[in-house]
Amino acid sequence: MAERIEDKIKAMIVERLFLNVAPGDIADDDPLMTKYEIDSVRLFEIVIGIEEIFGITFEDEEFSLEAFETVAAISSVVRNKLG
Amino acid sequence: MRQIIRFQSSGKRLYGVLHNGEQPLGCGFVMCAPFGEEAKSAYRTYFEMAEIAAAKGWSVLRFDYRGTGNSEGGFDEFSPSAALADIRSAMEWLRLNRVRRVGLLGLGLGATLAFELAAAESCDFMIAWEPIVNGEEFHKLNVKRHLLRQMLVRGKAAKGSPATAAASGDIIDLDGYPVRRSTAEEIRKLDLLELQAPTMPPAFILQISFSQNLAADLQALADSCHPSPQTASVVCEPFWNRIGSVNCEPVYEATITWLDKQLEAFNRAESVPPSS
Repeated sequence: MAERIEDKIKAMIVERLFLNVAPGDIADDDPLMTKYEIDSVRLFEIVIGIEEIFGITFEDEEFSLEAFETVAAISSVVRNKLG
Repeated sequence: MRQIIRFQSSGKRLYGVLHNGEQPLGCGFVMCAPFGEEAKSAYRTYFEMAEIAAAKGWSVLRFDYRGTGNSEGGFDEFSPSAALADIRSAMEWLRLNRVRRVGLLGLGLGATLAFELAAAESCDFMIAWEPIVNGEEFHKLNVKRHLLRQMLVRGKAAKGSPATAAASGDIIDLDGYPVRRSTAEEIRKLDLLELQAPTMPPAFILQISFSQNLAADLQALADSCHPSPQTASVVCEPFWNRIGSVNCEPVYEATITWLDKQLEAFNRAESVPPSS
């Protein structure tokens, strides 16, 4: 079975941010900024990671807080961009 | 032992700190700082690396480019070409102070400058931590970083890059720092793969990342040089992008291991009698 977009994002977040949690412990609707203390530099790494893994590029106007609030929100943006 | 020093570079008085051990080896290196926020976040790591190397006998010079830190000048005077001149002056200072073998160690933009200088001029060795291989890519990342900061403050980023948004003036915002448009353009034009098969002194490229796999651009960079620099990868948080402290032991260990081998090579070369 193909890996869910959400699971790929969680694995990437844990790996790139050196988080001491298992990817499976992150819920799709966990508030990333507050629960995992994600600041602008960590968010930057998430964005770069998403672009690399899914081969997409975020346009300037796509940088909104709602789009990066949760794994579910990020997944939705990724799905839209992948068509 | 640490000593604050001042030296001249193209009419500017620069500030530096020399780290020396109890028994100096007569070998040393200049630490080339990265750009802007990265230089601030890497400050502690640079200090610790300098102390560790000095304890092993290396003479290490950390310094501030013109227009940054405690050195003379305004930040708008910073540019890659001015920084290269400052690095040359720092190397010269070490040579004038009884350091026979002088090398360079840099991170990010500082590694890129060290690379350019080592490929073109007299330099005994070079260590590049996470060099920026392509200035245009670096510029794009800086724009993205700027947009993300804007998003966190305003909830949404404004359309248009900071560089284009400030098109009317000579000073533009690059990663939160006011730089001349010409400086930003100079950074964008940096391309280590364009150096045309540079002849390098002994060199070491260190990837510092979440992954052990060497990035394609760093591999391509190593392959483009003659002789090919040694490459290595350590799993470590990107300390130059962190506000808090990061354990950089893997970085220090990899660097010191390479320096130890380099010292052995220098000693072997000096013990060989000149051929008649």
